[in-house]
Amino acid sequence: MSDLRAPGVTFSGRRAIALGLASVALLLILGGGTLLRAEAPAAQAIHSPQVGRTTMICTTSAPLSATARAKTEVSAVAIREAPDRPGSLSGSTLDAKPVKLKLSEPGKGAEPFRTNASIVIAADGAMATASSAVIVDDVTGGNEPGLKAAPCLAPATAHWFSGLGATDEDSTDLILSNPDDAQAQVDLRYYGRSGRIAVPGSPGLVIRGHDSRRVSLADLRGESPVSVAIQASQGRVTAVAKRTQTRQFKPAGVDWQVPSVSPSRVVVIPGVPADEGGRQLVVTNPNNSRATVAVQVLGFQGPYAPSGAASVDVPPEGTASVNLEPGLAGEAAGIKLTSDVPVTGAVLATSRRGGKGTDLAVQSAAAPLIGTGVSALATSDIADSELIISNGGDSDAQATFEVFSYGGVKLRTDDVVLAANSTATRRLNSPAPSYVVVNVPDDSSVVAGVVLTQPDRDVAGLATIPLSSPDLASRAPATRPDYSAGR
Amino acid sequence: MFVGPDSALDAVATPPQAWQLLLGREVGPGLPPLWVGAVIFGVIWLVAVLGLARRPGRRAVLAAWAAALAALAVAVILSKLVVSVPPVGTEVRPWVGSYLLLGFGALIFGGGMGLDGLSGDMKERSFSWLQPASVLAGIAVCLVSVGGAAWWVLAGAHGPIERTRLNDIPPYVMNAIKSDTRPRLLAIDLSNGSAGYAVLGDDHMRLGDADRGFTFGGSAPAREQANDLAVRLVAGTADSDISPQLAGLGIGYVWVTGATQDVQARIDNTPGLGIASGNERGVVWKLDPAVSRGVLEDGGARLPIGRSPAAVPVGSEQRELQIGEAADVRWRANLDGQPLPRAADGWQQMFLMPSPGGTVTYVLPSVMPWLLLAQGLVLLVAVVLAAPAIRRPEVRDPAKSARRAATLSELA
Repeated sequence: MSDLRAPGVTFSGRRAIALGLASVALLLILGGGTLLRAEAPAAQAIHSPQVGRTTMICTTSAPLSATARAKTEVSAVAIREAPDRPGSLSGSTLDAKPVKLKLSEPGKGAEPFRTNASIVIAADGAMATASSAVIVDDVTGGNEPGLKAAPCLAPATAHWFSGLGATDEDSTDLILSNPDDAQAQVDLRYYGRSGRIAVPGSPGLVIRGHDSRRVSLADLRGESPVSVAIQASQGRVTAVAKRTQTRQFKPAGVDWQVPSVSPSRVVVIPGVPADEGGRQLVVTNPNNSRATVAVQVLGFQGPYAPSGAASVDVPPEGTASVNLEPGLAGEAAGIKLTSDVPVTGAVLATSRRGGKGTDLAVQSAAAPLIGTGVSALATSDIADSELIISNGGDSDAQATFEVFSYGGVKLRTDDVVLAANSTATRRLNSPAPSYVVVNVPDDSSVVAGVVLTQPDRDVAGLATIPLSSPDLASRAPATRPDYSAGR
Repeated sequence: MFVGPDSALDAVATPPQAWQLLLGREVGPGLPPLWVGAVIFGVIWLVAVLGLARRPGRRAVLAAWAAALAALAVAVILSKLVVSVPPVGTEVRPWVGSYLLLGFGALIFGGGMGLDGLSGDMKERSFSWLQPASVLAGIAVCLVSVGGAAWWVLAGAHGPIERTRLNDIPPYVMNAIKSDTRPRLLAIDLSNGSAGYAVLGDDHMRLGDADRGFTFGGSAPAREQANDLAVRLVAGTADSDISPQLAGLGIGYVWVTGATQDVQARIDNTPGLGIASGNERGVVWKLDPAVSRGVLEDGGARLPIGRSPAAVPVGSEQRELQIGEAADVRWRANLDGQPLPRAADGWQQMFLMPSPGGTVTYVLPSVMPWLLLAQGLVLLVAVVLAAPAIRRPEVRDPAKSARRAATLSELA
């Protein structure tokens, strides 16, 4: 191949020009490659999963005595989350007989309806991740007067109950319900004051499809307080504990106790009510080693250690209790438990108003709210209401709460600034019936509850409803195809 | 050639620095240590520069340098891009190895052309430092070439591709995947704080799966539904549609790794998932009832159908054969030799089944066997053309030669 020859340019000149051009080109490639920013992969589109159908069960107990006047109502709401997507809320009894509960418009609530049977609420489409329901028992007379309230619960395979009563004066019935067609089989483990309790018949308990089963703790007298772990080995169930207390053979309070959150090193118990009355903290340690649990009261001014109850030692696979009444001094609060091993817990609160009968309300440790927390009942015509919001995190959080009528009209909105490890309360007095929605920042540790009180009754009714997050889908981490997942 | 051995292997990896590419680095696994690479590619650059310095005006050298610089510039630019690869739109950085090969090949070519005749020049010159330096340079080039080749052979014998046992997933699940009912496996990895998932079937994973669209054959609706199901499972929505939708995708097992107890409990709440079991690596749930990829749906009842050919019982007139594969107009199905009409609904291929029983056969005709045959023929032709030939000695015809001589003499 021939050579390029430029007239008047010597060989050395050609060499210099060629090497210079090559060097410049290389420098351009190096410099350009260094300065050129690498393209990033397309951001994952925010994906709203198309959840199909979810169910909740609102549990009731057996009919009361003839002398009792009971009003048991179920309230259900669907928050306005994805108004462009269709959805519906419908109800039936546990054995699949339809009831008049029907809701198809997001943002509204179904008129509370009376029932004397457990109700299954099915939420389809958009409402599968936007609905909430609550059951309230208002009983006067008879041997179980008082106010009972509990959110309707989704079936699951594991449930934890802390500090159930097993004495003549504090009895407990566990009610296990199976909403599915197939039978469920559960194992029950009992944790007493001094450790694990072996109970014949507790493993392999069968609950038929569309049926419920009652388990009494009467046989465990002397072991109170008892914690119970329920693990389904087949199917799934909902579990609620009916607590009944008496003093000298007279009724002293009733309530539904809902499951506590699964044991963890840090748990928060929301919605401990204000005013006078007993406040008993029960802590469950399912581990093989002793638990040393630090107790913090999340108060209005920040966290503090309750006098005489700053720390609780819980035996291995056991349950311990401690009196919080002196430490709380009648203040509404949340309770934060920090332990060296995973634990869970609950607070038993009793009302005490001069000369009136007492009532019981149990607050169980709850999972932090994710995005939105809902209580299907904010105000009602049977009780006064107060919202208690606690921030169990170590950084401040700003929450917003909104009260809606069942017609979907916003009745009230307010911002609540929560310092780290503190609590705030708001009296709810919007026209009844209404529901409350609390919006919390992402990755916060905010929990909340609505406290219902009946100051004017012969029995000082007391009940609490923990707020829960219906949009479970939003708690999923970022999901992407990863073809190495199955290697 | 453009995205490497498999577009799903590296996905969107961190791009290499420009200097790394100019030293032949970061183009995939199996590279030598940096110092070895630096020596080898340094010698290539040195040879090319010497060639350019010796023949700065030679067109072949300049053309080789121009080609090399262009190829390296393209490699640097492409390494910064992210492209979407069909059929499932896998995002990947282009593989720049082929451009680097072209670039360094051109540099070697340019260096060779530039240094051609160097030994003759050295002979003509009086003895100085140039002769020993040239000899040493030649030895260095030989050592680098031989050393590089030896390293390539030795390293290639031990990697970078190696055969490993996929024994994380319990053997009974792997056996079930290869069984007659061919259920798929939804694998979810929660180890890194996010949820990565893959749907596996048949032979687990093979090179080129991404280009074939993975187990759903590139079906976008099936892929989106699998993503949706993975989100719902991990979130623990526990809605009752999860199991039927998993079964609709032919997914019979869910395999989760890196999950906390809480997440396991959430997934456990999903109705239709059986009892969790597993090992220290992960947890597996089997759908209950068991899932078959091929199903004969008859009035709500789903009868599992095995691999083709499969026996089917007598049923109603309104039944459908769902084969659990992505819809494709090439699918053909026969019942005892009688073709079945296709039905379109959802992501998968279906056929309308008449009421009589018999043996059903379904197949996706492919040109692949013909392509293999054609490749074989082309190879045979190439071998024949490349075979060494013996030139037949020319046999002269005396009469013809005499006529030619006479003609030439007449012309003269």
